[in-house]
Amino acid sequence: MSEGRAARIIAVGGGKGGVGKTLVSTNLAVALAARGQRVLLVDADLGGANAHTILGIAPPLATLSDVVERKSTLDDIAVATPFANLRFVSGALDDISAANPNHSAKMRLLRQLGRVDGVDVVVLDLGAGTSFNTLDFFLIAHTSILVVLPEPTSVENAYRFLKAAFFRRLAVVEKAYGIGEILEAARSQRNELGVHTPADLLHAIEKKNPDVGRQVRAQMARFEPRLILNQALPGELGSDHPDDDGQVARDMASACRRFLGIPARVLGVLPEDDAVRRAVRARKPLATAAPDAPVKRALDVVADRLLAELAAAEVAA
Amino acid sequence: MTSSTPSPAALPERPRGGAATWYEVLDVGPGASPAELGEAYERSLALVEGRTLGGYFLLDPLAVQSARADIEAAWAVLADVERRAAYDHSLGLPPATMLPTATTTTTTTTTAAPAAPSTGFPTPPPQTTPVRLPRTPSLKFLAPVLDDSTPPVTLPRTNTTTTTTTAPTTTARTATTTTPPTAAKPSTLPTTASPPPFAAGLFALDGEVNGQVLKKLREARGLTLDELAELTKIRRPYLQAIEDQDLENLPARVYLRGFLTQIARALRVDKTRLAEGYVAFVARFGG
Repeated sequence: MSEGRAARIIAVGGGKGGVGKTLVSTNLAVALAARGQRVLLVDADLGGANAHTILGIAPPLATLSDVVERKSTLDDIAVATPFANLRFVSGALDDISAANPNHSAKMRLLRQLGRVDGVDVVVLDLGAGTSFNTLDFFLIAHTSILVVLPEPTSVENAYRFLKAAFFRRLAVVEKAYGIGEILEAARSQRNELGVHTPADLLHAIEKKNPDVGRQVRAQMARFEPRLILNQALPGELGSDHPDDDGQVARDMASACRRFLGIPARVLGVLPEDDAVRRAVRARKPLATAAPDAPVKRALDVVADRLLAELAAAEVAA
Repeated sequence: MTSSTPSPAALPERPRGGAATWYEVLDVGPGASPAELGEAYERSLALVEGRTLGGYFLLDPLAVQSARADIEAAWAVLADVERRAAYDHSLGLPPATMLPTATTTTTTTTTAAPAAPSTGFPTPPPQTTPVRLPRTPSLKFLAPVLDDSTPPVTLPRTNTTTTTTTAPTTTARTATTTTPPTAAKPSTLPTTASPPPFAAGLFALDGEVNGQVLKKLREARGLTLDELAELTKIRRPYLQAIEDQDLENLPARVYLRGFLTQIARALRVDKTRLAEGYVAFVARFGG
């Protein structure tokens, strides 16, 4: 990529804590850097930053709060890492006001993210939950990745997160399309309008004004979350059962498309692998601690897919 | 509430949810064989009802209802040769016979006795390809060798798909308890006139599908209630209530159909016949 072009932003989120967001974002950043991309890993888990530990570096002194408070720029606070092509920005925010930046400060930060010199790809490690901070970072990304575990709690939270992200995105474009009224009605009298899903809402908007409906639909179709299923187990021991955990991810993406109207896709399935625990304890990324582990190979597949998407986006741009 | 048999006109024109076509609703290609459709239909229901992990809390109960209506309507259109042909035409697709079918080998299996016209199921239009019972990959271990007297039941699908969304599913249970007992409605339903079917008739479900029939089916398969509970992962009290036709304790309607489908799989009978038959039976008594 040439200088001056905005970097592609990849956000890694997931409704629930402990599903492996930091594992995925950190190791993907390392893998993309190893493939020649100039990567900036941003720990945007504003409350509980610890990507530095996975990278095996000391927490940088200057953090995102300095950017939010206009003391420094992102470029200034990005530190080098032991990995070629990979720089790191810590989001550790002790200051309460910085951990909850106001809207304009956040927007400024988000704009800066894509404009750091000499960076091709920004990888954002997001926090848990569905706060507006997290959702906005998730939504501004070119590629939004949701990490899920094959567990009911995680699946439930993932759906909640996706719906929240969808409605947040809609709320952001609400004024431009003058659909505030219908959004309000959908919220307050859900049953009267019959709006139970994002798909219902799009139908309701279309019914009221087909032109606006088409535009909103086109706008929302650009929200294409990618799913990564972590800690996947194969089918029952010794069986060639097709209903392995990977099916959970495929089912989720399919259900999002068909019944929520959110065009989700499966980006990858990472196997349950003890190497992860060993690597975290060694405070090293998988590339260093367990280069041959199955989970590392699965992450490489994801990195290659992302690279292909980046190349396609480059061509399209 | 009423359980209606929709005329073609009652079918919605397009899906309500995120899918653009009926094929998308079932997540199948336009060339899907009847067997693939059946499997996709079952998978889709399991997903929106949260019976598979990937669908856990996907939808709130009212949304489940509209998603299910999409699936049922998709099935009503695509499983019917004539409606499917008309729909394909409206999409600008070539006739189905010209599309490649992935599983041509599995569609040539036999069919069983057609339903008697007196069963409450309208006689289906003759289908060129009989609908085969969907494979049940996740219940593979359940498939013991069939004895010769009970060949696999592969009835053609009827058109009784219920697409009505008027049923207040989430309140179905409370409704039965709060309705004033006008006509001294028995809380345990009587078994009605039709004599209990036996032998092939039992497995073909070509009579009324009531609790007694389910019990006989279960016993014919040599299963206890506890074993059925184990196989279906449905709690025993629910199974008991279903067999006893105990309206007060039946699972909420939003779950009932899913439970019945599971039971049908475990008993290896046509899931649609069993589920729709039983739901229709209960509905006649206001359940």
